[in-house]
Amino acid sequence: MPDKVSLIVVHNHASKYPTSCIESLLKMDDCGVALEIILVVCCSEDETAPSINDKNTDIKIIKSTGNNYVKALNAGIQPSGGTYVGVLHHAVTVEKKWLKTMLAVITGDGRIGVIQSKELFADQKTIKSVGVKDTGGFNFHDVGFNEEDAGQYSRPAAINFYSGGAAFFRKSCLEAVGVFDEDFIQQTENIDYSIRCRNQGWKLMYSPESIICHQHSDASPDELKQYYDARNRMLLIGKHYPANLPAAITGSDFYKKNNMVALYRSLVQAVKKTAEDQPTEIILRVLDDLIDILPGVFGTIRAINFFSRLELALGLRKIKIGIYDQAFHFPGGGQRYAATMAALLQDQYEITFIANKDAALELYREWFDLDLSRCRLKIISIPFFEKMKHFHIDEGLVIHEPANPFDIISRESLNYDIFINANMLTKIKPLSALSVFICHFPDREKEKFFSVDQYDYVLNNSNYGAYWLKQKWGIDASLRLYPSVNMYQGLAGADHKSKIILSVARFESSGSKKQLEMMRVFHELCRKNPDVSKEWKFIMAGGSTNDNPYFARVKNELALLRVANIELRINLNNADILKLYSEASIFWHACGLGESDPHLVEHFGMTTVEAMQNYCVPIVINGGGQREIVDHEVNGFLFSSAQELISCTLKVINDDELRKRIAAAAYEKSRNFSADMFKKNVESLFANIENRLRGGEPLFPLQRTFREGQSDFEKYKSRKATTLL
Amino acid sequence: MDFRGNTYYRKLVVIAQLLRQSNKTLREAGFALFYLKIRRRLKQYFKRFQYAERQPVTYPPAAATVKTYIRLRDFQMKADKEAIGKKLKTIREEIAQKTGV
Repeated sequence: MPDKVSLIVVHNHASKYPTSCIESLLKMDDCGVALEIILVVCCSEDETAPSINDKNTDIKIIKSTGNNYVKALNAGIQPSGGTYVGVLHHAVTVEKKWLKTMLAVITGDGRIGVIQSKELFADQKTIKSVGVKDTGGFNFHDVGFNEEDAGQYSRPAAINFYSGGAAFFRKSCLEAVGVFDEDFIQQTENIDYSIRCRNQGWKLMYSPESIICHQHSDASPDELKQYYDARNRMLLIGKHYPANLPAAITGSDFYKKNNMVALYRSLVQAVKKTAEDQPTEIILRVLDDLIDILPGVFGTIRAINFFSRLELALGLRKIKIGIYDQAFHFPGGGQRYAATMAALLQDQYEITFIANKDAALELYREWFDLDLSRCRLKIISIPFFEKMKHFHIDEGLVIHEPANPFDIISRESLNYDIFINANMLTKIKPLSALSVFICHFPDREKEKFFSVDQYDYVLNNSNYGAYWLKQKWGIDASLRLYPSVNMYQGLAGADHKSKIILSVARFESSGSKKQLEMMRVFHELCRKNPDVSKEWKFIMAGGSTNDNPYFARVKNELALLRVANIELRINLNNADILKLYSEASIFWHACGLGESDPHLVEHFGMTTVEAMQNYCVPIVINGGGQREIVDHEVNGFLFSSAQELISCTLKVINDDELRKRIAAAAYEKSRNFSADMFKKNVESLFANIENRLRGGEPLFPLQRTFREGQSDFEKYKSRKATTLL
Repeated sequence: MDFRGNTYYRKLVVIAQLLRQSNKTLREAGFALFYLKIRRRLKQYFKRFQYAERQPVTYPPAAATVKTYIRLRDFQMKADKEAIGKKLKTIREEIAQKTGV
């Protein structure tokens, strides 16, 4: 008899303690052997493992994260110290003589590595499994499943594959064969392990006297089980029977159910398994066979993407990212957003900017102080626009053309693993393995060649934009990624501020930033409050061109007002803007005042955050993205009319304690939009995308995204070269 | 009298801007393009006032979090990396050539 036997129970619900299973283990005949019970709980990072009610019971509890049953199994086996190891599912109970009969069989023959129990359903009359067999085409089914137990399986027998309900292992077998393959996540790991055991000369046995009962009586497999059955079948074939992999594609349950996304993903993983376990010649042969099949199954573009993705899954090269910006040569908030992202990622990935007009990456250092020296730039002219000699690429000009002028960019996107459409050009169909559309606001209508719904990820810079994205284009944003704002100057607080109200906004020729309105409001404020007029100053800073008619109007009206406490500061450099922020007590932003068109309301408003980072009290329009930045009377004020702007401003002017308190709260809130936060979110997003590209598995595979929810075949067919070009 | 704050005046300004842009398009791109462009612009312009009624008071967060992908276990290839890499590159080029992509 051995000194010690380890019994491992793998449990996938952190909320519930598997009482019946543990109780049955404690009640069974232990044959005088020391028992080590290990309970492994699969749970998320923030969940806690269940506590044990019986303090006298010596049970070791291990927490396993990552939603991976097989990983939990390994986590339990690794610290176990018994000569034999029993592995049980949490929903089973063992009969009294289970251990005794197991030991009797395994100690009788030193070549036995694994023993399978007789598994019954809860009624104790119907068999669940007495082993597993291949019913053809690498479809594995339980032997005796749903049969009445009439003694037909009452003799010990050698089996090819064991079932994972309650198996009993010789520890030396586990050590020789190695850990369970965690890539299977759940199910089929037993088939893989059976093959590996037999390959090393170990025997697998069925012990009819060792009976266990499953607590549930549901014989019908659920959707998740079906998913892992289909997925793991591909992985198993890729790992052990690679020559059959190409033929297994059309035999897959995914193919039959038209779940092409899952089929595609599992095939990448299966070839990865082949590459891990097989010699070079076999892998090359499999690849040769796949060439003929894949274009027919997924379409030409996806087939090319498949082999490209394999290079990444096999770790053969760096990920290539293409960032297309038709306004690359013209500085603006959109350019800064994408370029900041590129600057963060350039050491990890191979990044190429794709532009239409000649420009240089060095300009971005000048404009935004961004170093893009490890990125590349590729200029691709679009003949349609070259003929027109326009400075800007305006997709609104593409109306009745039979062919999409942007196909030249689509073709280029095929050269990258990730294609990022950085400036909301809606008519570019992405052909890369994965694609990202950055949408600041959906200001266009859905027109001919509209392709935004073909992108894998649509990013928004505010909830406001995400809301209108759904309203106007019917598309769900994949992620809201606030822009990076970094105007901190290390101010200690709001104590040493001057009596300045500041506005920082470009003097748009349409007047959308409402400088005229703000000027009138300040004039009104001064007229009614002589003290304010004497002590306070309103400064409007912003960029403008010389021939800007709106700026001329503002200037003229200011001259007519004949006041000394309103100043215009045009085209200031960064240092001057910072100085203004450090001096100003109050910040005004009115873009959207009196407007009902959502496009004309501030989509986000970076300058408000910049002001908050410098202890200014923001008094901003109650609309658009400003509502996400400022919480009324907590870290700023929101106004809907000129009167409200006056009353909020007076409140702050007349109560210095309130001003300091709100300014401090504004400073705290500004951290949500800091460069650090942007970096963290971008890195997390791209880590996720990288996992996906390199053959990773969704944490919740049945949860479908908007784009996956579309008819898969339709999506893939539409990416075929014939329809594209 | 200053009309600049008046709503009707502002609407007229927008229409005047549209007409100015139309004139420019007409000169540059001809009548067919002008007709289609002005029709669409006007459509978009009138839709603005429909939005006004539909505009909700608050904007609930509409952005979902990105679907999480977990990395499979660390990968080690026994086979000849260079040979496999070369093969994959050739395959991609071959398919592209065959299909004319």
